[in-house]
Amino acid sequence: MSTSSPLPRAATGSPGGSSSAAILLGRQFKQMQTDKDIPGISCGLVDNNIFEWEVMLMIADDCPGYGGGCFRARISFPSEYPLLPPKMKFETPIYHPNIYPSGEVCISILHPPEEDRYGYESAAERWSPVQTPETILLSVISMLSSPNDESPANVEAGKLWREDPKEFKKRVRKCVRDSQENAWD
Amino acid sequence: MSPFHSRLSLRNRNASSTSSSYSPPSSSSMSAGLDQNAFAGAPTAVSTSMRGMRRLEARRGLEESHYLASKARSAHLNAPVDMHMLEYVSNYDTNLMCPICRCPLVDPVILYDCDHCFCRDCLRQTWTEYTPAGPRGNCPTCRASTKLMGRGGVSKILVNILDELVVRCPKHEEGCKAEVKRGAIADHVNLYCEYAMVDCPSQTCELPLRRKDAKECLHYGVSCLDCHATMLLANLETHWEEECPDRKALCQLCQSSVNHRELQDHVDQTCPATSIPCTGAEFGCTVRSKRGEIEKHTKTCTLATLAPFLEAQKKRQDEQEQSQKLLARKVQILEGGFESLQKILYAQDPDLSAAEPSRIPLLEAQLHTGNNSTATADTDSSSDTLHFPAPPSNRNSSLSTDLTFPSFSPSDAFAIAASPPPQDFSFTPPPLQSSPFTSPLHHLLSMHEALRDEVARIAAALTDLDGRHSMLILNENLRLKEEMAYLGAQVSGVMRQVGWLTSARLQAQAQHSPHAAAQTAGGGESSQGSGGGGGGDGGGVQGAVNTAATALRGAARVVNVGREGMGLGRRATDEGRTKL
Ligand SMILES: [Zn+2]
Ligand SMILES: [Zn+2]
Ligand SMILES: [Zn+2]
Ligand SMILES: [Zn+2]
Ligand SMILES: [Zn+2]
Ligand SMILES: [Zn+2]
Ligand SMILES: [Zn+2]
Repeated sequence: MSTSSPLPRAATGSPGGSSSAAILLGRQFKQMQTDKDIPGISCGLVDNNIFEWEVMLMIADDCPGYGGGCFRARISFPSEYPLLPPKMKFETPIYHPNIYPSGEVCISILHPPEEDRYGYESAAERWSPVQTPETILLSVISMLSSPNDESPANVEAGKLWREDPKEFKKRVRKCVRDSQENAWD
Repeated sequence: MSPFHSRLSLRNRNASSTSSSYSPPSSSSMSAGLDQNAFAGAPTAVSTSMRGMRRLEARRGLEESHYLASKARSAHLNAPVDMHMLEYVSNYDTNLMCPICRCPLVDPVILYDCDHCFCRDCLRQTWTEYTPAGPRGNCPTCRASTKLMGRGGVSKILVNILDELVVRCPKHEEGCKAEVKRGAIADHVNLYCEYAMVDCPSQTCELPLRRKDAKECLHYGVSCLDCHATMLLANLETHWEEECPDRKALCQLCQSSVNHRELQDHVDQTCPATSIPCTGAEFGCTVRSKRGEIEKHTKTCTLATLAPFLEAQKKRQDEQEQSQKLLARKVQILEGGFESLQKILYAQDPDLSAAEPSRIPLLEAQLHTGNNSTATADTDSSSDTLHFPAPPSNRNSSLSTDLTFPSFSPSDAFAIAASPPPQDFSFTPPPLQSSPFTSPLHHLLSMHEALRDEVARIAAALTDLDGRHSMLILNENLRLKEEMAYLGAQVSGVMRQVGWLTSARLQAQAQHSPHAAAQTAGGGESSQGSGGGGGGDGGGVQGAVNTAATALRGAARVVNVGREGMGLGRRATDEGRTKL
């Protein structure tokens, strides 16, 4: 490089930096926005930062329990992406055994493979660098309709889901209704 | 075959054996270009004499070393090309994409067990563990435990296809316009790129220079003509182009002097001599004139005068369209919700589905007569209409007539309670009809709300019904128990009578039989006989008394069972009450 001050960094086609993770995310972001195959998912960036995605999940009506819900969530990618998984957090309150009351999603594909603090999970279910935001979102949507009993992030919801499905359904319907009303705020 | 040709191939062999591990297949064409350049002025008909050959050999060796040295120097001065960051000009098949970095494979490796393909670097970063036998791990795609296939595993065709992809020079931001094949990009940067750094031609100077400037040493201080800042000549161009705060440029259109960096903005936005369209162009005016003179036209142009209004209208229209889309989605959701509500309503009690249309108004009416009373109060008031007759005093009444309580049919009971005539099943509840709505959205929302309330009320009514039902069953149960106890007592009475009769009968028999025995045995021992007879008589009475006692005990047991049952029944009834 010359001794002159560096050139102003021109946009490299992807907003927010030029690391390989940013480039990959930029590519995947563009793909998500142009893809017509995934109905009900729309995404945007938080503060034009490619590492922070805001997604809106509009759950199809045929999804038992959560059908019709509109949930806002945030996906935060680490700078080591895709070697390390992103974190996903629901901003809309959602009642589910595998989602912490804080909104953080506890799903096996978001757990890094070397970390085995949930001994039951086989490595086969955990993060792999070939996963994409799209596969993550699809897994989360399928998790909504079929909770995993073994790792209740929301213990109360897990218990209710097991012992009083009727009441559980009622709570879920309520959160779906609330999500619908808040969706356009 | 010209010696020129043979020399080339020889040179290539050398190059590939000594140069870096990255050997683009197209390096042959590259080096051919180099040679042609170098020998542009050389005679094509080289003499075949040994002397000429030797001289050429020597020259080739010199050039070879020069080539390698300049390449090495250049690689030292320029950051190595990051193949993952390249910008591709040509379209590529998605099958050429690495599933990890999602760009065309760079130095591909194939996994031994599953044939999946990744960039070497991508896989290296994923597989962090190493075994003595070499890298092993799970395939990121299929998770099979596997290892790398040897270098020979990757097809040459694949490598060639990848290297043929055209990319933009990584120095394109600095100004290089070159688009080259990916396989040649490293050579482009190291040997040809005008914007890559090379050593200063001056022997005494250590500083690097762009290749296009490397004709003489530019590393001496100069001062900018405009801002008088001091800098190296090598940096002057960059300063002049992008940094100098004082450089002025002459606008070709209006002949005014503006800041060099703002020239483009000036022409686009403020220059009075730029020809711009009328503000009404969007709505049909075709007039163009200089910015300074457009005022004259706008004063007379109807379209320009209307433009702000039309603009606002268009904006509003767009907004409306947007909100309409949102509304459509919302309506869709509400409809979905409504459908599921209906499903819940009609699926809960299939017995009553026949009376469907009148059900909801009836329930509602019934609940309205409760006059917003709480659920318990409602239960009390309606328990009057549903009151079950007290346990019948007439013990002889048959059970079947008592069991006719199912004549209580919910619709009847509700019909009694429903004082207002049942209206048609309408989805708009009465209190909501009167109030006007600011928007259809609010209307829908309130409708939704009303429906939700209704469902809640129906749910309450259902639990209420359920409670009443179990109450009825318990009452009936209680009565049955009492009946049974009564029957038990009667049975015991009968038993007692039977016992008494049996014993009387036995006594009579006993009195009769010793008489006959005494007659057959003779009268001599009559006293003894009568004594023995008396003994036999006594035994017979005892037996009769015993049987009677057993019968009594049995009857008592029956009665007890009856009592127990009653007790149970009562307890259950109590429970039922507390539940209600
Ligand atoms: Zn890769
Ligand atoms: Zn595989
Ligand atoms: Zn270049
Ligand atoms: Zn120099
Ligand atoms: Zn200057
Ligand atoms: Zn001008
Ligand atoms: Zn006009």
